[in-house]
Amino acid sequence: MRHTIYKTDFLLEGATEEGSEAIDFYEKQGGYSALKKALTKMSPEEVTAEVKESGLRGRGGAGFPTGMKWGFLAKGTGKPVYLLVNADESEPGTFKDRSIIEFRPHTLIEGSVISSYAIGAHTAYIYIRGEFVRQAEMLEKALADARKKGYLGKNVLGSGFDVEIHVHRGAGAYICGEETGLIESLEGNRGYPRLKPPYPAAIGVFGSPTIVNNVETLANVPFIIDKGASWFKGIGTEKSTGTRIFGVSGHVKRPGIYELPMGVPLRELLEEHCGGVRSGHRLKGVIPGGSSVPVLRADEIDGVNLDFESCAQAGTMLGSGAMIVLDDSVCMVDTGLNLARFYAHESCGQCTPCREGCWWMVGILNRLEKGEGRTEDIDLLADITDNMMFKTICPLGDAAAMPVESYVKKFRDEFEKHVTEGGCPIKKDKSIKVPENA
Amino acid sequence: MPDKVTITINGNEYKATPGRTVLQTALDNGINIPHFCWHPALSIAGNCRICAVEIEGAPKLGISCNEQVRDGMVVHTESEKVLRARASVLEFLLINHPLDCSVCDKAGECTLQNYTYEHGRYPGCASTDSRMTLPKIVPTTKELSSKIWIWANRCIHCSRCIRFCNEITGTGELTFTKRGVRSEIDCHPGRPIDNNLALNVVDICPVGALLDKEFLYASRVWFLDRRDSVCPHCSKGCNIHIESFRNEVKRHVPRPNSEVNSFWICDVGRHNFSYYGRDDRIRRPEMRVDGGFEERSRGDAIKMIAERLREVSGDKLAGIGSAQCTCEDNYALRQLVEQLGGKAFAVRKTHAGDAEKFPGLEIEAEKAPNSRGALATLELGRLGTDSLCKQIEAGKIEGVIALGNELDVPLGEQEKRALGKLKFLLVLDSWRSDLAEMAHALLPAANYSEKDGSFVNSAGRVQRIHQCLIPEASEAMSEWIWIKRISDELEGDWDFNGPAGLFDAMAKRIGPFSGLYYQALGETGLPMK
Amino acid sequence: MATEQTRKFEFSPKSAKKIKEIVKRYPDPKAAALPALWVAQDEAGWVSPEICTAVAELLGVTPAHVLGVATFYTMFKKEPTGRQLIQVCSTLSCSLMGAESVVDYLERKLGIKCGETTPDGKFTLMKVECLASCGTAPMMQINDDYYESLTEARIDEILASLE
Repeated sequence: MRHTIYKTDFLLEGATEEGSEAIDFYEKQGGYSALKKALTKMSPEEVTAEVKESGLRGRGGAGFPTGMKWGFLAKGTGKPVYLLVNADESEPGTFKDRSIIEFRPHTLIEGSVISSYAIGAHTAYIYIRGEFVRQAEMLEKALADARKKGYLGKNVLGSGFDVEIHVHRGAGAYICGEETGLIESLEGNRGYPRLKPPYPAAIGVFGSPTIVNNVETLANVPFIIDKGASWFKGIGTEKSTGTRIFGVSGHVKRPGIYELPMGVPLRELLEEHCGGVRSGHRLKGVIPGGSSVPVLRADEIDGVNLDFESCAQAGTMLGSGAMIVLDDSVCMVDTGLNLARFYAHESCGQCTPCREGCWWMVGILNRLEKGEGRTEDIDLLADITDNMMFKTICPLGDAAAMPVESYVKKFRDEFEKHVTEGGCPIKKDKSIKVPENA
Repeated sequence: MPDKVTITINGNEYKATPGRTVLQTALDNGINIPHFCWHPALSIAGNCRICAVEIEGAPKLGISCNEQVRDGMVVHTESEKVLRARASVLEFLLINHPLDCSVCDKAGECTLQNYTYEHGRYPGCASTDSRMTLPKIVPTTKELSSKIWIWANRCIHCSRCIRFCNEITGTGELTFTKRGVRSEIDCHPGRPIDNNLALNVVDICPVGALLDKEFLYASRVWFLDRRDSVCPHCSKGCNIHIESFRNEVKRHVPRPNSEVNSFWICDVGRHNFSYYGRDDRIRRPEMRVDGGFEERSRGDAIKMIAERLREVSGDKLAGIGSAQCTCEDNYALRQLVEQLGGKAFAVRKTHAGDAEKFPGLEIEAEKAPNSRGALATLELGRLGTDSLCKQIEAGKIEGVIALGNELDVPLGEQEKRALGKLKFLLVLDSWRSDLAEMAHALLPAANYSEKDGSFVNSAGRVQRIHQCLIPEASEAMSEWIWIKRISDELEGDWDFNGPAGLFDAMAKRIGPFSGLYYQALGETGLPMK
Repeated sequence: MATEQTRKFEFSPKSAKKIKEIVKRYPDPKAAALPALWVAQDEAGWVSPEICTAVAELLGVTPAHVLGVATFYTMFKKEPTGRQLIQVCSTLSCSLMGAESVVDYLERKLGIKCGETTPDGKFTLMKVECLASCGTAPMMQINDDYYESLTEARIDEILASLE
């Protein structure tokens, strides 16, 4: 995967070089100096204030301001505080946290230790998806190296602060990337998301105040502490600060990892960095932030910048920063079916609208794609998505409904042709494709 | 105790207790927000989503089962948005739910059925056609244990049964397996759900997914005649409904009582039909003759009994009450014995079985419903006939009137010797027990399902039972009626009208019952002093 | 119907020790459920109901609880599989890059349908959901390793290299 890291900034600096994951490499780049600074020169409150000031927002998908989330921690409960690192990366299209874990794990480790210090956590768990077997091994090694050098464990760098970080492997469940699903899974249960309130910052894992942060979010923390909030605010946009590790996939010439400042125009990422749509094809649509966000038609991407606000204004979401590019060989019904199958497979099954609605959508989309669809099916699909959205325990129901709703809305004629022509009108290309690359 | 807050539901203000939810407050005030997964005795799951309501100021619908009341909250439970959401939940539940109503035991008491009828149509939509025309998922139908069937295709995934096994019995036999729309309720194959409260999951299942093997296809519930009673199989006094059809009991189900059994009964009590339909039922009055018993008419029997009683009246007469009979039966016995000058009483020891302690219900070791009531009525300190038997053997007691109705309580050796010595033993019993076989005169008694009256449970709570069945093809009557007839024959002058009269008279006289009135016992009973 | 368990699963001393160490990481032993099931699957090859009981005993929970956990997660196998478990990612980005053709090719090459195991017990073929390798699609995971940027030629190479 290393060879597909095409653009780096501070988060992925040096990641393209062999051995970038080693602790010595990281230290030579100045790694762990932020930890020294935080532990010796700053109080936990000052660290939190710096992170808050920087405007860092969650990089998992929701974009909640990180410093504000830390501020919600219940105080004086007498219970230990836990930091949970969300390394469950399972949102289709997303492969950015992997790049950190495989090639720059110490940004995550340093960020986790500093964050634990800030929130008063002495135990942190990295919940890593079960399929990341080798990646979990790499993390364990990096943790062992950091422990040897005194960057974690008892009395970190002689500061008196103790923190232990454990790796906890998942076992194949997208829903465990949802923060309360993660907490339930960590507690040894089926990964059923919880009702909120109470929020994890009040009652989380093991009944204690808990902060769940994404890998990329935590990887930003050492840099914010080292170079300061003002520096961080100078990158990106006013409300979406810092860089983003964009993962681009699909029908572009150069799919891969691009760390760019927040707010980069979508067209710039697509055309200049990724080389545009593959030769001989035209752009049909772009899913800017992972499979759960509404699609943008080719004629809608002008003026859209890749930050939280601009994407929201365009009727979609920045989400996990995972851009999936669709060209004219793609059928939107087929795309909807592929994702509906994903969500139906991953739905935990707890609540009625998601459990039944996901399955129903698969059935209808399947029927449409096979050419057995009826006219009513299209409005029915829209109605089902409406009945699922904002009515579930967790956002998976929304994540399943929103894309399909956007495909029906924005590509309605294609759906209708499936009915009137008794089959898929698109000349689909299912052959194995090799990106034209750099 | 925090002050009450004011919330507005559908334009009306209500006082609500902080800490309670919108759903609880609504239900307290007769606003029936539909709900599947919420149950007053279980933790909140919030998964069915049908209790969703509109709360002003919130961006989306909130589930009322998990929404704490706040002062000034404004809730709408019948707005178009809410009605749409409700109909959509029912539509979603029905897409994989089989159209089994005509063969499903739960029909007639099925929450899904009832809610679909009431809330299932989208606002402004007249059609009742299903929009789902795909093949349904059909998971297993199988025996979940020796007592319970599961029709997993009917399950609506409310998780009540799982929470029951975790919270009420603490035995944790049930779980969801698999994930998403394929998830099913199941046990571990080596550990079926066999605990003694297991069948309560059949009651709390909102649909016909979990079914009682014994009741399977036994009756349509709308044919059942339902009466309030109290389970007689231990001294816990769990409140039950006896449900019968054409004078035959079809099932027992729990009746909620927050002071006694919450919403539960044990499987033993639920399935114990040993009082009903017995072959050894005594049907007519009988008098002992050489070599056996001979039937007599009521009138003749009473005359003969009265004559024999005159011979053993005074302090040579004693009464043996029964922990299986009502307070009223026992009090009537006392009246008659005292009328004839007797003073000595006893109540036979009850059968001691196993106590069972679950987090949500404790089953008593004493397997009789009214030992406290019998002892209180006869003002005795303890159970046991040993001192009475000694008196009989010493010749001080020559006649005994005994109440029976006891299952599993054979006579002890001392009792057999003593009772065998009596000049006259009158037994009022329902079946041919040891005690009945020793009688000189035998009167057919009604059992608990065939009479009105009261029991006192182990905690001292006085609870009503109601007649549900008519003794079939027999002249059996409640014990107190026989006793009253005998008393009249012997020119007694006590003038009590029925069980109510007996109880109220007893309450005036006996300390622990003072202040109580039969009519005030209501559906859930009252504590003794 | 529910049957009596006749076979009991005993952890090897090494595995039992490992699980005891893992339990120490958490304030509640139940939290070791997933790690314990991983240890069990690594030892036994799949997670049987007997293993669920053994894990339950170690953690102080009911067998039903562990069964519920084991069946929730895709990676805990409910039956044994071939020595090489081939999991082809089939979600959107990989599908856009030809995941269906990868599956077709493997089905033809191995002579089995998706979900089946080759008669010699070497390969099991499955489709799985997004493996977070979208920029190097199409791809597959075989046992613990990722094989990315697949072509038919690469697939041939990879299969030939596996025992």
